[in-house]
Amino acid sequence: MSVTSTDMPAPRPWQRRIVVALAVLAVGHSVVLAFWLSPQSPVRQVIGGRALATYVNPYFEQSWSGLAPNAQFVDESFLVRAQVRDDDAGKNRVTAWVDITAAENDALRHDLDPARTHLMARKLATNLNGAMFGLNAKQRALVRETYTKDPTTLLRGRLLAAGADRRAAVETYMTYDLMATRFASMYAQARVEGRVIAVQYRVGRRTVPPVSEVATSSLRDKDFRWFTFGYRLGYRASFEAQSAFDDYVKD
Amino acid sequence: MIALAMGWLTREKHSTYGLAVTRMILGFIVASQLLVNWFDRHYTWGDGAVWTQPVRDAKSWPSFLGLFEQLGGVAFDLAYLGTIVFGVLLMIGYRTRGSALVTLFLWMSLYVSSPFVGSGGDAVLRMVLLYLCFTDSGRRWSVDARLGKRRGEIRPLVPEWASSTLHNLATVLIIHQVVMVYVGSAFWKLQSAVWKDGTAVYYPLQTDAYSPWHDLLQPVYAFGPVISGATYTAIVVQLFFPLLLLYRPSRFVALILITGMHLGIGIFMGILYFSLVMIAVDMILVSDRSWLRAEAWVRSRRRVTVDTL
Repeated sequence: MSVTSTDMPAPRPWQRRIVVALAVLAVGHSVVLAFWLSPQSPVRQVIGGRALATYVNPYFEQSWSGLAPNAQFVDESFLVRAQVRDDDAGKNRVTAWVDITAAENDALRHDLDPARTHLMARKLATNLNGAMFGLNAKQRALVRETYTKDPTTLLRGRLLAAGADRRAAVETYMTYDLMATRFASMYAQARVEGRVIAVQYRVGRRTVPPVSEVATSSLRDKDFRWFTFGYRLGYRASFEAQSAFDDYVKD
Repeated sequence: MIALAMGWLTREKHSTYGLAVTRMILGFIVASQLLVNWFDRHYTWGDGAVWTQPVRDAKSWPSFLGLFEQLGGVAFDLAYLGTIVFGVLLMIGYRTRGSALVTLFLWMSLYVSSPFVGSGGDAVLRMVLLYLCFTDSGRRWSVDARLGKRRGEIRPLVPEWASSTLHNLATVLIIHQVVMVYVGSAFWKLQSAVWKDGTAVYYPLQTDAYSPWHDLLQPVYAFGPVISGATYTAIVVQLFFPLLLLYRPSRFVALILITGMHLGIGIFMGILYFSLVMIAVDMILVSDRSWLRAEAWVRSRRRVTVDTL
């Protein structure tokens, strides 16, 4: 049932103009969103993808893959190990690899509405895997080198020299390299006694075998395809930020 | 035709009961999401999210949404608790329009502070919550409605024709959003081989992250007819959703099927949050007459229970 104002007088001409203007705005907005989500079309080319993006991003941004969770068909993995300085003993040691995504996946099991944070390491792995697929073979070899004394800005220059046509992919990679280094450092620091001086991480991906192989093969039998990165200088977070990691990881 | 459209926009507020249900579920989602994430709040959105700074900076969110990024410690906790409180106020419909605006602001401020914990449900939630601010979603089944009844009618600040126009246009935008999600998603699926051969649902149910009951239900997931049935039902319901809405009995069937699909995705893939957002928005499509009938049924059941006691 609608709320009816039957005794309401018909809108005056100036009121009608405002109503029409509002309706046109709403229709225009709907059309822009529909074109944003539509596949490539002549109309979309006329408007221009960039013009649409300027309007849609960031608030009205949406994509079919984001809205269709059933697009998931891979396991992704994020592992970290660290070089730790024991100041009392005056010695350095290397920790074992810690599979962060495995621990988070355990937390997701038998939970209908899990805490969002359990998908964080997986998303970092997804983005790093994606960034690596954007690099060429020579560039992928370069990221395996260690940058604990030299700054990673040198790595950026070397990546660009190895494939100037992949500037966007290099920038994306460098962004995720920085974030993964920070995340891995804070996570490792929360787990160890001593001071994390360098971290190394690796990311993996394995794809669900075709349904035709259901009787003979399962995803858990499959090996991950790994990308391993060189050591990076450990990131020292603020006391508050490190405490947030300590509380989460130690629980 | 134009006169008819003008009348439709300015004389009546449509879907007032459906919007009330949407409002209640969205308020519940905001409050419950924050409660579910309470113990990890500093790690997820607070000081611990500092490592996401490069991606945060790359997004062009306006600076006034930087509230949670600026806050730490007790101030962060108070803003977080405030978001839960406003989510509850939205749910019960107290000072509804103001509560909707503040909930939207706080929720978005929290959302932008950590780009790695968002999901597809967030995109729909933020758009619908924005449109909801322009509607009169507190007119039915709300504290405001009860107070209004007790207090009597107050002369509204905004003239009725303008308020109705905004309400109805925002309602249309919400419906447009949900229909676009379904139809577009169906077209996307039709381009994919695994959806066409009826096996798509199998794949996420094998992964570690999106199959929380895998250890218990794998025999069901490996059973072909269940997988193809779920896959083809999802495509057909989404593709024909707008057409099914046009005729009352088929609308009923469409809403039951789509709600079932969302519950299935939510329960079996462990993403109930995403599903609840979509279910909340779908509730606008249930006619006010049906909601009133449901209310009458609940009232009669309650009366029977009271009489029996």
